[in-house]
Amino acid sequence: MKGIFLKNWIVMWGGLRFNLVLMTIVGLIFAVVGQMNTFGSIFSGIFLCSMVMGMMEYNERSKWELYSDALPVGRKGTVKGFYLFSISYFAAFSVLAILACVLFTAFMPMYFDPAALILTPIMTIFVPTLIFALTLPVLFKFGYKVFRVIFLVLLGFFGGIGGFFLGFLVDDEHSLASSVLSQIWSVDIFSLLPWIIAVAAAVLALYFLSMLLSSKLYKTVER
Amino acid sequence: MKNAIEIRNLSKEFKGFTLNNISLELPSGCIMGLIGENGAGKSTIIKLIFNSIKRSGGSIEVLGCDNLDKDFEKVKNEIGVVLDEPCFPECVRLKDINAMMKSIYKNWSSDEFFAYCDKFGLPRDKRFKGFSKGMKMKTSIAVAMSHGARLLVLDEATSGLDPIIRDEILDVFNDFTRDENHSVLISSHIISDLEKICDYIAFIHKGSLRFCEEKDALLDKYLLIHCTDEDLKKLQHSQIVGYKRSRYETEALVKNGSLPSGIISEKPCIEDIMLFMSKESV
Repeated sequence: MKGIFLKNWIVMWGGLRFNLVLMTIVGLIFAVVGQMNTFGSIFSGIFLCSMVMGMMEYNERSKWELYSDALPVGRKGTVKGFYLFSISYFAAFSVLAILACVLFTAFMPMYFDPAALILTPIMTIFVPTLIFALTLPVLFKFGYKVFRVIFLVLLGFFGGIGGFFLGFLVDDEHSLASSVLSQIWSVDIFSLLPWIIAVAAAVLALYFLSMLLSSKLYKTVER
Repeated sequence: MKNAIEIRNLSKEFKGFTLNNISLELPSGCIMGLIGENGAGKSTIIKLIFNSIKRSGGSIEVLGCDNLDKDFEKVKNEIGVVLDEPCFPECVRLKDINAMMKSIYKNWSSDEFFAYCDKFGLPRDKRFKGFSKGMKMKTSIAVAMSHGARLLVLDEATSGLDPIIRDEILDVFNDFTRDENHSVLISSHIISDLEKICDYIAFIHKGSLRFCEEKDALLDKYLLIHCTDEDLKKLQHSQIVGYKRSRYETEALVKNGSLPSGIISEKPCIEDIMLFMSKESV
């Protein structure tokens, strides 16, 4: 597991260094902008997933998976290493998102919003975690090509919903969508904290279950 | 340990192809060559050894451990593998491969790895993407040789390489088996390579094992004759393994034994044996 975890980081850093830095900056902008809306936070999460997919593309092209069967890592170790790598990347990004939010509000105190400051890093870690929890079993059962299609469909779905809400926001300030969004960001986050923690724990539990399911599915895959 | 690999009644069914009851043993300290035409089942056997595909029947023991056993993951620390395509991501450099493998193999030796890289003339600062096919293969071989493996499993490891590099690599494999605990299973289309280094030859044809024998015994077992059709008719039917007619003569592979006078015979090479056996022209 440790070997696969490190290997994924090495491939990510070796092949996607430029993209990684660029996407992290773009993602952070979205995360910071996410202080004003959910859309930015969700998209920063999708950016994170697409970075991991870039790394998967390298694995796919090199036929690493076939080679890894001959390595002393085991299929279970491969799955665990991948899940651990993904969540560690999301967590690292989330820490950066918190720092970016603090910096942003230090220079622009008028945007200081403690509720959003809590919600932004939570969203940036849990959106990609949730997406991967739902889609990674597809990767391990059917391979990268099918996974990519499913991911893009999901991306389109999220993008469509985001676009739909944004469209309403632009067209009519008093639309239902704008009132829903404004309500999300004006709730008393501190009173909702136990619920947020519960949802976060549920997402983590789902991610763990997804890992177990992927291990089970991956065990039966033939190459 | 007597055998590095023991395969018993191995079978695997696919749509349109069946691997039939393969049984073979690779004794420790030996090199075994797997030969056969494309699609004969050589790579299938290697995939079955590593459980990349599930077998339909039979058993496989590698270095004394059943490959379905939990401990087989640990045993893989002692197996070096080179597949027909080098499987490292394009973006990595040799130092990255070293870092990756260090965390994967228990007995990884960076010194040994870089010594092999230097021996093979591999550039340290270039990405894998910029390596030629020969360089990529040499990298895979360097990896396979740098973690104290007792068994090398090589699937078309010398294909696509020029004769000079192939010769260099065959020497490395030969050196490897000087230790009697070291063994090699190698599949290749380049039969002349296998003839140079192998102690045993296993011939797979259409999913079945036609023979698995010691190379020298195998070469003594047959004769290649050049004769006329009339001369061929003088031979017992059971003595003829296969024949090939051309405009000017008939060439046949026959079992070593007494031959009618006037028939010119010579020692066949492994390739001749494989060709005549796979043609099934008798």
